[in-house]
Amino acid sequence: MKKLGLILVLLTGLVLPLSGQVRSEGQTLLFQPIENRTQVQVGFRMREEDDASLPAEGKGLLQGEVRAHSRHSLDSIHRVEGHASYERGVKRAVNWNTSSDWDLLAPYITLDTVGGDLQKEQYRFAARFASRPGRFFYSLWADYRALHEYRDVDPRPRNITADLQVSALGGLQMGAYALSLEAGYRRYHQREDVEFMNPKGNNTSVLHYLGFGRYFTRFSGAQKNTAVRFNGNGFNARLVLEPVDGLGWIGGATYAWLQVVRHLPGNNETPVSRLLNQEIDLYGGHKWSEAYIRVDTRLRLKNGMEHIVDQTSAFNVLSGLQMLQVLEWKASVSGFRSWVGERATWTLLPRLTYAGASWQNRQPGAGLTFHYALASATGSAAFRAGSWKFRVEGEAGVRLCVTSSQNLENLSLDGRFQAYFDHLYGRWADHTVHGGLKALVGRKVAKDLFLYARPEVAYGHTLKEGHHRWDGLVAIGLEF
Amino acid sequence: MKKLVLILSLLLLVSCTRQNLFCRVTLQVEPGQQIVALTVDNSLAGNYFRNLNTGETYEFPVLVNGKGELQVLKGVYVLAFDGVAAYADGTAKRVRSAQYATVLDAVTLTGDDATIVLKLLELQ
Repeated sequence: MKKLGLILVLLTGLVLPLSGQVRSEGQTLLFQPIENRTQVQVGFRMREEDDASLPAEGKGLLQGEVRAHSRHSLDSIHRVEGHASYERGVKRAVNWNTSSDWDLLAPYITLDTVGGDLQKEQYRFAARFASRPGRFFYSLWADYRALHEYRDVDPRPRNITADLQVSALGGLQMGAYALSLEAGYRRYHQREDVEFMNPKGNNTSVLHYLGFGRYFTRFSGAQKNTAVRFNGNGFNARLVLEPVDGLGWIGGATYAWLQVVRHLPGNNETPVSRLLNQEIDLYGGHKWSEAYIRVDTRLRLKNGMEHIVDQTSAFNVLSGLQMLQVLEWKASVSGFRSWVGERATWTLLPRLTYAGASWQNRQPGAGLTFHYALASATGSAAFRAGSWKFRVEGEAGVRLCVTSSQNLENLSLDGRFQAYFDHLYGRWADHTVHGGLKALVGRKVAKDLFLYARPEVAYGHTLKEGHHRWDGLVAIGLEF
Repeated sequence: MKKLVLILSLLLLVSCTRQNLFCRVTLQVEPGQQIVALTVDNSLAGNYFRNLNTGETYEFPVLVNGKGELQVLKGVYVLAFDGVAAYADGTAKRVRSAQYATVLDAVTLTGDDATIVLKLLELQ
């Protein structure tokens, strides 16, 4: 077992990291040392904000969850990995959004101005098969997520989402390094139906949003046109170079492309808009036996096209206008260092990031721009005492909004939208500090069976407006 | 190598080319009428030049010698107005344009330029 891998295993205290991260690297699965382990965890997760930094995702979350993860070597050349999870909870005070997966679809979502709590239920299943018969190696990956969100008071959205990703990887070992190329396909579908029990007496409408306070007035309402379908198709490619023994230079590049078309089934399935998501991730670094340093960059681009629908009852699409562009980027440098002492293993992970976000509407000309500098450090200590394992991790960080600007003068926003944008700008242009503590206590209760508990808490505070946010997790699990 | 540079340059050019979002619209009174100036009170709700899909509205320009121009986002539009027409003989009359007032009569403006011929109805 390689030293860095051993240290990481010691740090987690357990072999598998059940932190919610599902996606694994096929190459890493093949070349890193693994033990045949399965982990099952039951937890309760919460988030509480005094004022929502993103009203579309609500100001709180109460969620119960079950997660399972397993990795096995079938023989000397075949390995498999599987993940399953179930989440059930409620998002509190969701506003200005009735659609699911806001981050993926925004701003081409459906919204109302009343909002409320949103019930959430999500399943996820993922699996990878990897094989290394010789110098050539390959793997197959499948990931399926099903999300159901709904509300029982007006307006009543019921969103059912299916998100499937599959990919195939092929690679070649060349001396001390392995190079792989992975290609994948993504299919996304969300069925959104918004109903009103009292359509005549309601005090909001369902708006098919175009960003910056604009929406399709022709299709908005509370009685008709309240059903939406989001259909997405995409592909991605990933190139990875990693040392076979885990020590040396690392590098990788990922490109992902996903186009989501919004249809209105009540209007002859008219595709009223399309949103193109593109992401480029690049990373590089070097790993030593007890340390690594790496640079990560990410560029995310959203291009929105709203369609021109003709006046007939066939709702033919005549053309499209490239109206919206969202650009998000970040670059970070991080380092990792560990010290193995007699009684404990200590680590330190500092990170510096510079990030930017720009939302621009071409006509009327409007925009929001933010630049951030972020610094954080995570330190941990892990040790064993008899059949007990302990791990404590602390993190502290600061996010400074270096520059920000808004240009909304040309929009002729009504009062509610103006207040919404004032709120968003105030929150996003603020400085924040955050800190968190995570602990893991595990005990060997039988041969090859560990029982563990995992409490986590994090706190964030904005410096200008004085808002706060709490995040917490309490979980217990078994590993065998 | 030259071909590669040419292809990359073309790709760059294509990716940088911005779509023209606007249509330059010429509003023109039906021939045969000696209108010197036609003014529309844009503050009245009954006078509208409205995007059918997104609801954005535009103001009518003053039509000089029966012709006026405005720039709008490409789209499908409904328009109607009551205005005051000043004629060459010095008289002034209230006139109405309502031929594109309803959804079914909406005018499609998806090109870079368009001309809309207005049929005016004289009001008493």
